Amino acid sequence: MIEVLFVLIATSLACSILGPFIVLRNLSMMADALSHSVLLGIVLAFILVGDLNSIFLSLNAAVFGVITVYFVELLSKKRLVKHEDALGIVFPMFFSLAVVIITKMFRNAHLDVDIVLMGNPLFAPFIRIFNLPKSLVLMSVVFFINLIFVILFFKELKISTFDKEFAMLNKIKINRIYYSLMTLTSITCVSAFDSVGAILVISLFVCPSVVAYLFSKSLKQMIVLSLIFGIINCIIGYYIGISLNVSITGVCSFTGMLMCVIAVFINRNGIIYKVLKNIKNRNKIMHDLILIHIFKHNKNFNELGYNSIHEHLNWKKELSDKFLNDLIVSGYVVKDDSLGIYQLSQSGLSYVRMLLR
Amino acid sequence: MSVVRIEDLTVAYDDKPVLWDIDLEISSNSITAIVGPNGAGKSTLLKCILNFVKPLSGKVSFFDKPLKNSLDKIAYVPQHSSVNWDFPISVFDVVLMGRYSGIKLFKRINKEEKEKAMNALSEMNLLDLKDRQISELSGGQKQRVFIARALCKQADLLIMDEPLAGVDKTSEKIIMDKMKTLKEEGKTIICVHHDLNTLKQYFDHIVLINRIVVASGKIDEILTKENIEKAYSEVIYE
Repeated sequence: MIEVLFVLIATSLACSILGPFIVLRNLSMMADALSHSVLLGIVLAFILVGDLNSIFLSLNAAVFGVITVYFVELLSKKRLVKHEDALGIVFPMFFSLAVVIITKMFRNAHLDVDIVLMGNPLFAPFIRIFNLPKSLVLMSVVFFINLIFVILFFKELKISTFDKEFAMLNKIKINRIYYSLMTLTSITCVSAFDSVGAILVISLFVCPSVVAYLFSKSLKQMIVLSLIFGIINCIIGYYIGISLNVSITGVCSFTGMLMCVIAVFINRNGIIYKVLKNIKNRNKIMHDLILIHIFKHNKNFNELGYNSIHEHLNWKKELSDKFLNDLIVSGYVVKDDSLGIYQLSQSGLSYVRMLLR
Repeated sequence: MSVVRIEDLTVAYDDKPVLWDIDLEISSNSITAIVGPNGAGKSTLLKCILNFVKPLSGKVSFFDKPLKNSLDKIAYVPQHSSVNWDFPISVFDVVLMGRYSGIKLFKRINKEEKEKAMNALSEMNLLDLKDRQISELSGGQKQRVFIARALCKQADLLIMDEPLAGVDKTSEKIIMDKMKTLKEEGKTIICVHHDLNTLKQYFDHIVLINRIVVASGKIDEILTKENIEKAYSEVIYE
C-alpha cells in the first residue's frame, strides 16, 4: 500500500518543480488547459498504435500540448480575443473532440473518460516494471528530466520569467524557453494521468507553488519549498484518504487548497501577521507618546504624578500603569520616589530626542 | 561617430501605423531626450530599435553594427509596467542580473561580479535596501533598482524608457546626477522624457517625434516654440 504514497510523491515532485514557473508566469490555467487537451493527442496516437502502454502516446500528447499553446498564443496575438478567452476556446475544443472520439470508437476499451479525468493511484501498484509500480518509475524519470531542465536553464528561466525584454537583450531565446517549459508541462500532465488524472494534476502544479510563493524571498527558496509542500500535501492526502476510505486524489487536492488558504492567513503579508503587526505598532505608539509626555512636562507633579498621569492622558489607570511598567522594565523610565513622579532615564531621554529629531 | 543610426524605420501594430519612415542619428557622448505627445510612438521607437517589436521596413545599427553584435554595449531600463513585480527576488539579485551577460552557462557568479553589483547599488543609494524584496519598494526606488542593474552592465549606451515617470524628487536627482557623470565618462544616453520644463536642465540633444521625426538635433537649436507646437498640435499622417 505504501507504494501508492510513493507514486503520489513522485508525481507531486515532478509537478511542483515546474510549478513555480507556471505560477509566476500566470500560466496556471494554461497548465490546466494542457492537462485536458493532451487527451486528444493520446486518443489519436491510440488510433494509430493500438497500444495503451506505448511511449508514443505520451509523446504525441506532449505534441498536442505544444499545439494548444501555439494556438492560444496565435489567437491572442491577433488581439481579437484575450489570452484567457483564447484558452477557453482552444482547450475545450481539443478535449471535447477527444471525448467524442472515445465515446464513438472505444466504448469497450480501457481508454475510459473517468480514469483519465479522475485517475486512481490505488491501481498504480498493479502495473509493474522492474518489480516497481510503473507509475513510480515513470514519474521519477519525469521528475528527473524536469529537475535537470530547471538546473541547466535556471538563469534563463529566471530572467525570462522576471523580465522578458531584459532576457531578449541578454540573448536568451525566450520563446524556446517558453515552449520547452510547456512541452515538459504537457509530458508531466500526461504521465500523471494514471495516478492523479487530468483534473487534479493542476492542483499539484499550482497549490504547493502558491504556498511556497507566499513564504519565499527568492526563486530558489520558492522551488525548494514548493517541493517540500508538495510532499507534505501528498502525505496528508494519502493518510486521510486511506483512513476515511475516500478518493486519495480528491483529498490531496482538497488539502492542497486548504494549505493555500492557511498560507494566505499566516504568510509574511498575511491577515494574521497584519493584525499582530497592528497590535505591535499600536503598542509602540502608546509607549512613545508616554515618553514624549514625560519629556514635555519634565518634573511637573500634576502631569507626571503616580496617580495623576493617567488623567492627563485620559486613560484608565490600569492602562497607563501597564505601559509605564513596560517602560520601567525596558529602562526608559524611572520612578522618582522623592517627588512621586515618573522621570525619563538617560536612555529614555536620548530615545525621545531621536524620536523628535 | 553615431552610436545609433536609424534608417527608414516604419512600424505598425496590426493595421495601425505608429511610426512613419524614421531617419535618425544619435551622436556619441550625448544625452538625448525623445519627446512627443501621448501616442506619438516614443516607447515604440525604443522597443523597435531594440527589436522587441518588429518593424515593417528600415534598419537600425548600433556602433555601426547590427543589434545582435552590439548587445554587450547596450543597457536598457524598461518602462515600469513591463516587469513582473510579484517575482520573489531581492534588490541585490535584480542588480546582479546586469552582470549575467558576461557569465557563461554553468559558471557561478564570482566575487568580482558581486562587487560590481554592490557598486551600482551604492551609486543609486540603495545599499540599505539591498535585501528587500522588489515588491516592497516605492516607485522611485524601483526605478533606481533597474537603473542600477543597467549601470552594473557598464554599457556604452544606456537606453531608458521614461526613467523619471512617477519618481520622487530625491530619486530624480540621484538618477540625473548619475547621468551627468556617465556623460562625462564618455557614455551615451537616450531617454524617453515627458516633462518639457526640465528638458534644458537635463539634456543636450532632443528628438521631437509625433509618428514622424518633427525635428532633431542640439537642444538649443531644436527646442523652439514653433517646433514644440508642431510636434504637439496635430497627429500627422493619421
